[in-house]
Amino acid sequence: MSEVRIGVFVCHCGSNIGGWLDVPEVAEYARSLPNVVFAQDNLYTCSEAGLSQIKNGIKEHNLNRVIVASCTPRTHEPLFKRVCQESGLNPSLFEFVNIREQCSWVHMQQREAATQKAKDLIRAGAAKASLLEPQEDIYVDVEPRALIIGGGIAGLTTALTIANVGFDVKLVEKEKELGGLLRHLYKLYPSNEEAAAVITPRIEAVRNHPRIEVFNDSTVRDVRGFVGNYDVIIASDGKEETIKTGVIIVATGAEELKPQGLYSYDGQKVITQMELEQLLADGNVSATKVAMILCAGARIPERTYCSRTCCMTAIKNAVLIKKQSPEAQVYILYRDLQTYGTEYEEYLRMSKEMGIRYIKYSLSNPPTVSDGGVKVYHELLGRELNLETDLVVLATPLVPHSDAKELAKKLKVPLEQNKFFLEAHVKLRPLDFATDGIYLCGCASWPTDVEQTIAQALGAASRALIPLTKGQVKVEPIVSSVDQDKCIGCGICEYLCPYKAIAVFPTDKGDRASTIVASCKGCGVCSSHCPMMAITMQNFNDDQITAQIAALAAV
Amino acid sequence: MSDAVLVIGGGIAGIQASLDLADMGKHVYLVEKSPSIGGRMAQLDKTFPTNDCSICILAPKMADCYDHSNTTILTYSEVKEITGSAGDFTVTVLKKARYVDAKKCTGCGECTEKCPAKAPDLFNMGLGTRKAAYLYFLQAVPRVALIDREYCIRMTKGLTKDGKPRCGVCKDVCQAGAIDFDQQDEEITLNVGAIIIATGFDPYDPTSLTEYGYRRYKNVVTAMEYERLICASGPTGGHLKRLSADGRDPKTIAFIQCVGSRDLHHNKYCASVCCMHSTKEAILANEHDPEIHSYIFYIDIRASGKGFQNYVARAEKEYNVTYIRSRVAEIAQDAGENPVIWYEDTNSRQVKSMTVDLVVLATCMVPRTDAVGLAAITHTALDEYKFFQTSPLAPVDTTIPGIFACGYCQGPMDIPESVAQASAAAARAAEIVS
Amino acid sequence: MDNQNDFEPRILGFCCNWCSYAGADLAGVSRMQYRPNVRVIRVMCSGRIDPAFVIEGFLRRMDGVMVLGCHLGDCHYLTGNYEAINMINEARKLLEYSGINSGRLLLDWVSASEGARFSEVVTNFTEEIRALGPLGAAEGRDFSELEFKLRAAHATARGEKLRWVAAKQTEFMTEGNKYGEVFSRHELNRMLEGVIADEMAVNEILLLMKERPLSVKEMAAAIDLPPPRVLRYVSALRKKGLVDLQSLDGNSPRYAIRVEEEVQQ
Repeated sequence: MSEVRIGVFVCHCGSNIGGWLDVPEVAEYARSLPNVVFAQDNLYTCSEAGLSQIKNGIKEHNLNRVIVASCTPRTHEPLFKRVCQESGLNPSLFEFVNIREQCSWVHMQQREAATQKAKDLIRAGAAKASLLEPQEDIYVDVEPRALIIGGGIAGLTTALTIANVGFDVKLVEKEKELGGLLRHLYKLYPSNEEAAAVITPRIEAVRNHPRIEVFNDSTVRDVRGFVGNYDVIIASDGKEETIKTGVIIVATGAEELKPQGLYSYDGQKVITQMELEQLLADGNVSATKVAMILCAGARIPERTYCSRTCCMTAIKNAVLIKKQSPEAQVYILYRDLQTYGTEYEEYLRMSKEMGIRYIKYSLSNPPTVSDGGVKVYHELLGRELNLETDLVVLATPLVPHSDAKELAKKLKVPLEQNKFFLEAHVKLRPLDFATDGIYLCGCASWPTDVEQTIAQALGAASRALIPLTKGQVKVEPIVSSVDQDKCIGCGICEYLCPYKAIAVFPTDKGDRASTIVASCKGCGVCSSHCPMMAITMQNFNDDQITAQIAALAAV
Repeated sequence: MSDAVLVIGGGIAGIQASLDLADMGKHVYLVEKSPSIGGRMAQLDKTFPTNDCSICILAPKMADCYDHSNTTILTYSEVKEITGSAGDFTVTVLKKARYVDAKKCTGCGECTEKCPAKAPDLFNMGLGTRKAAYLYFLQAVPRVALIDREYCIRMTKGLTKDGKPRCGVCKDVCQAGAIDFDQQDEEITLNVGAIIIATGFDPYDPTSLTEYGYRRYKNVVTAMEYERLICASGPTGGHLKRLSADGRDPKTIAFIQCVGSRDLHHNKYCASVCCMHSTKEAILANEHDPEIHSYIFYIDIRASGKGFQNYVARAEKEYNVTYIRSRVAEIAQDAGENPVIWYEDTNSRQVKSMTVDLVVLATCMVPRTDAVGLAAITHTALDEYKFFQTSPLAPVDTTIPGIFACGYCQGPMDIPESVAQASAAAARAAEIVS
Repeated sequence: MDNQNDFEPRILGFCCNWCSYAGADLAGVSRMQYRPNVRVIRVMCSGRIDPAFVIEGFLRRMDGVMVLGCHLGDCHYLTGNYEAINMINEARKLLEYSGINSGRLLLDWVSASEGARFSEVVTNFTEEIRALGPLGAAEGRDFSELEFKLRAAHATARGEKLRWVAAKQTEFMTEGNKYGEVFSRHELNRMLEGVIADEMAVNEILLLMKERPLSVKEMAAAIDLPPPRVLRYVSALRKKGLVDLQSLDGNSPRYAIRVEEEVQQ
């Protein structure tokens, strides 16, 4: 390697640094460090003037490493790296030393100590900079295709959106027919549109879309690869087919809990909301005294969550019964009503005006169902009511499909404690998995109403369209690399990597780990845990860190 | 035709929509009214149900959005006029003068420190003051100062007798030479193919709900004020204390739910997030001081999102939070400036009272006041509550093709729903400009 | 300034990019003042910290080492800080075996929003180290004595055996070993300690022999272990071909490092 020539630019940051420590002295000191051939102080290194000084420095002094000693790398590093690049210097050869947040701003009354600390940090920076190596940006090509698992309203919406933008879509549905849960519903709240009228045109559109291929009666057998380059093996009709795809969207939905053993459920006199939907669709509801019990099998110790959609489903079905037979008595037995937002709250108000009665019960004193009646302690009245009924409808929660766990394993994505899929971040990445190139939407993630499901499905399409439209995925060069001669293929790194970004593959020398650079996020856990010390973490490697430690300790 | 997209509003929804589109290679113009992007989320202390620090998870997105090669971020700017139709809109944006050269300003804060004029700190919900030369908040993006023309001495006081400006300290201390008193508002014309509205919400002002004593009693605050009070970068440095002169640390806090919401006289709808943010705020109180006991006065606990029920259960079990199903009728105050809550306990059907140290009002959230103006500019329809009108089956499509709405300006929702909708709006816009 | 003594501790800090380093930034932005003793190295994740880095710090005569990560559950890399717990736990045991007060090593969590907490943690740790005194003072040992142990610890930390067990901790505690046995933290600690005891002894023996050929008795006396145990280690080293019989001193054999092999560095 050619001679290392470091240039150090020490920033006054107005008086933010210069006011509290001796910047010229620090620059003077920097000049004395090994490999440093140039050092100067600037009023504002990040200003236009400061940046051109860096550019000039690189040119005039033939610098091949640049250190800026100023503020935090967390805000300004991209700027300085860009300037290096513009001057023909590989941005990986830039090193940032923070002497503002780490020195001047936090040791304001200790000028000497702050100055000394700044010198120490620059010494360590120079030690690391000497060992920096140029890294090339890594790009991987993206297979221009999306594979969607699940053909309900979520999967259909995502498929149409991605296909409309111009990418091929493979839609995998495990049942014979597309449509998912909506096939079993009568009318949707709050619009009262028929579910069939909503789902049928979408199924048609998907079937007729030249860019969409549907695999029904099919399941995902196995998934390999990484963002941009997944191989998904689909099993249908006893045949297997491998689909190459850039992205995968999980839209597998959920199913209604069958309340076996709850509230004398028998499917006749005591039925679920989904069973009621069928009766309503067939015009077969003759009952005139109906009690609906909410949170049947939900918000109980063994299933603590609220399924979000059941309150509105019950209210909507109660309204439908009332509309079919206005003389009918409908009671809704609830714990907390989830009529969030504008329309649902309005719907609730309307249902009350129609004469639907609401009775609040508590978990500690749940209603009991007997032949011809429901007994319930009305919390707000403070007494027990005996309701005469000829139909009891249980609002049961949506639960994950039993095969969710298997699918999660194949995709190497996590489930949360109720076995719904777990997104990358509950707040800011609701539609992404932590694994790049895999997305989720709809009830696979959590029980959601149709409106929210459609929004999520469109959103997942957007997320998936990012790598698809780019055609390439750029990878930060902070990635690990494995020395194939030292590696023994033990698989510890593969086990520990939170992103499945390192894996053991068979090679001529036997099993060896290697990094899937497209997925690596640069945490370095593999490197610190490799028993053979075979893994190097670029930009944060053992030699660099050890050099920093040594430099900091040297006085 | 244009394949650029205009995003109006730089909160989390606008940021997410911009990032998605920019990542897809579309050029995005993000217009934000205030001096920084970040929106309401930047004002929150933590987020439910993980207690993630709000600004910490938001700041990287703000930086990504600002630094993206496909975005043009116009802060301190407003959309004035829109003509054209889907695929080809012409947009006029008013970019207000900051009186600071954004190219030169380094955000060092020197001008703020030396500026002699004070102004109410709106980012901190008016709790405390800031300077006339200021950064909107510590982590503002862009990190560019500005001068508030309403409070700047030089701009409000005119010249001295001998014809000299009365102040200019900021200009004198700015070593970057960034202060520019001659800067003018400018109009910018943009050509875009699609428009995404993401203007968010305002907290409902509870002053007119006189029964709650807001503004009358110092120790009755709104949830948004509370967020700033408990935030480490807030006006008290994160020290939770009463606003009465005693400045005491509260030991009992009451959270009143549905203030101005689910209320026929104010806002009929449910604001959808208050049960959870009150729960979070009660948990945070207890984390600050384990002696704090919180009471949440509610009608229904709406905890239907992912992990919400467990969060509520933890609040009760581990954080001294008690939920009281009730109707609060009146908040009075005793001689020690302690709020006294008079309420009907709807479970026992008795009228009760409780004296606490601090009351936090979970006020309704309403569309931004300028939603009406923006609807007129965009010719889009609003619903009866002034949220941008969409349909359940096309949840981000407004009534005008090519114009989409996402986040709280479309209806009550929490952050992940806003993020999902923002991506949805990006996908719909991408269908047009692809 | 400093009340009774002039001792200014030298402290090495490691901060993760996403939380604790950001917390330090916030402390800066908020002008929170703290002691200027810590020198921070930024890494992407606290899980990056190899116990060898910690030992290296003490070998370089740092008086304290501080590792700060994201709060548990908040790790930017999902689980990196849990791995940091394992790694620092190992480093702490190595320090104990080296006769160093393990209070000189701190693992703590600071979020990006906790500027005040960052300055507090730094200040408290600095004062704790100040109270312990310079490296060796609290230990009642000369640095040269500690240095020998630390060199052995460094080699141990970089040795395959200990790294293997240390890296397997998470798997052993959740899914179990290849026989499906799941270990408790306590059991794993016992396992770690066993390996450390063996490997420290082996590396000390190697270090001693690097100086000059020695008999088992001499070695046992030098590192204060029973001769039979030392003999076991020496036999194992001979079998691995790392050590040769150099000479016989009367009846007693003297061993030396095989020339082409070096102590693992």
